[in-house]
Amino acid sequence: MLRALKAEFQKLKRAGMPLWTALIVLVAPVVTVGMVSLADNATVVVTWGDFMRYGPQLVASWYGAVLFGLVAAYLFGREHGEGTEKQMFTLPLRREYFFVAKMMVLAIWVAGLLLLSVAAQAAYATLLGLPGASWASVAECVTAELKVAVLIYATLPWVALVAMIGKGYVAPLVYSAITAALGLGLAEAGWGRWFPWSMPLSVTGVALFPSVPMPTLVAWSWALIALVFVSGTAAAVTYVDRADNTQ
Amino acid sequence: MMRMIAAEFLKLKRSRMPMWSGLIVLVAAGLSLAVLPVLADPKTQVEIAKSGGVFAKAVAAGAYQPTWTNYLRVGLQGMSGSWGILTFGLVTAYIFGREYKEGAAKTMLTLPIRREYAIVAKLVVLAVWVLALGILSVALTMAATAILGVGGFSWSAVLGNVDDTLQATALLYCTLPLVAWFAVRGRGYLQPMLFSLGVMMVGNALVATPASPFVPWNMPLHLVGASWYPVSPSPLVPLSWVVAVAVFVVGAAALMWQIDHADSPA
Repeated sequence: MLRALKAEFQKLKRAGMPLWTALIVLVAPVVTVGMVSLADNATVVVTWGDFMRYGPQLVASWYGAVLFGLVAAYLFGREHGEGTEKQMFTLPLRREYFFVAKMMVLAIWVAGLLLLSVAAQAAYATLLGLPGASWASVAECVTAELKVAVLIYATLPWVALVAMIGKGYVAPLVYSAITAALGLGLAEAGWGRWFPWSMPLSVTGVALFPSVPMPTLVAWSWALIALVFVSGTAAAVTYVDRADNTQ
Repeated sequence: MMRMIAAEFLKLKRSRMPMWSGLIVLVAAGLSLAVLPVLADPKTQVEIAKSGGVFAKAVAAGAYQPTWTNYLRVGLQGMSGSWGILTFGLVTAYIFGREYKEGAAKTMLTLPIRREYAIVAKLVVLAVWVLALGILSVALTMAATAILGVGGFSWSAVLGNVDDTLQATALLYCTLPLVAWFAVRGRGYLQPMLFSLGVMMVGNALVATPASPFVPWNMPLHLVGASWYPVSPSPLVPLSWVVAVAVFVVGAAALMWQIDHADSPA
């Protein structure tokens, strides 16, 4: 298992994708800059803490589902695209190991992007010279981003499954785009508590300045998202176990 | 040349991508309207107006009232500032990147036909495709608005929206050769999608700035406004169109150069 995990990390050694995804996260806070610059300074003072609160907002409503979906598509779709599927399926190792290893790499990748997004948001807020910088605001931002990231990550086994069935990147990208749009629309309609792909917006509110608050998550919401993760994982593992080597 | 265009259309015969891209538009255009009933809530409007400036002005001007004009505008704004950039980028990535992913690049690059013909043919298919998605978006927005029973229908509002949709689609189309360049350079779909995601955010960041009418990824938002900031629609100046066409020409030239110098992959 550990060797499979190590192999998955080594596959990223010369890949440009980690860098490109990091670049997207570093660019993202410019949306918040544009948003807060429209506020009337005579009426409302945008603080460092306000700016930080928009970090999780960006992940939840602007790029999280699509970017993390793209990373999942890359990790699970590249075996077919780069012709290494035949090795993966014929090695004398349990195929589940590869799935678990990829999911662990995905978790670390998402966590890395999340930390980078907090740092980028703080850097932009500082560069703008906003008043009221505090560690409490950072902690609040990290907590909200963690919730958002966990909620998005729980839906990613389904993206992985679509990538493996679709044997490439197009199907998971289309799937991610549809679920992102569906999630945003249904969150706006007030179903964020019950629709797993809308749940991140229940944590942050819908993207507006100020954010429009959404119904908060309840225990059943977390049970539902756990079910999405477990069922997605089970479906993906079942598929991997039964997949034919077609290359 | 005509045979190349016919060939490009034939490649889509059994492809599901036209259907999938239509489905993205269906979900995005239909559900993006769900925000208006939320915003129409007087409590929400009071909260928005507290930020003063453009926020208070938008509330006072009735920008969040559930009317046909507002619904049509919000639908178009979604296309101009978010899902349109991503979906058109995905379609571009598919048209130009599939040659590599489906192993057809070696055939395309070794045919005794000028490689530029393939590029022009693909750009023609792309134009037809994004135009169809733009029109589909208007139709779906109208259908959703009618189903919601919103009052105040007028043909002038519809025609105005169609006109704006055509302009926004044309502006976004002008940026797509650069997306295609990323697809050819990266031999696939990921680079062009990351590029589309990045420019979508940069474009949004420039709303209501002096650069807004001159940055191609922001021009559609400048033209139709954005309810999520909020920014009112503003007319483009002739120089905006010059910049948009220049971006198209530069992108197309880079694409031609890239394909002319590309090696046939094994």
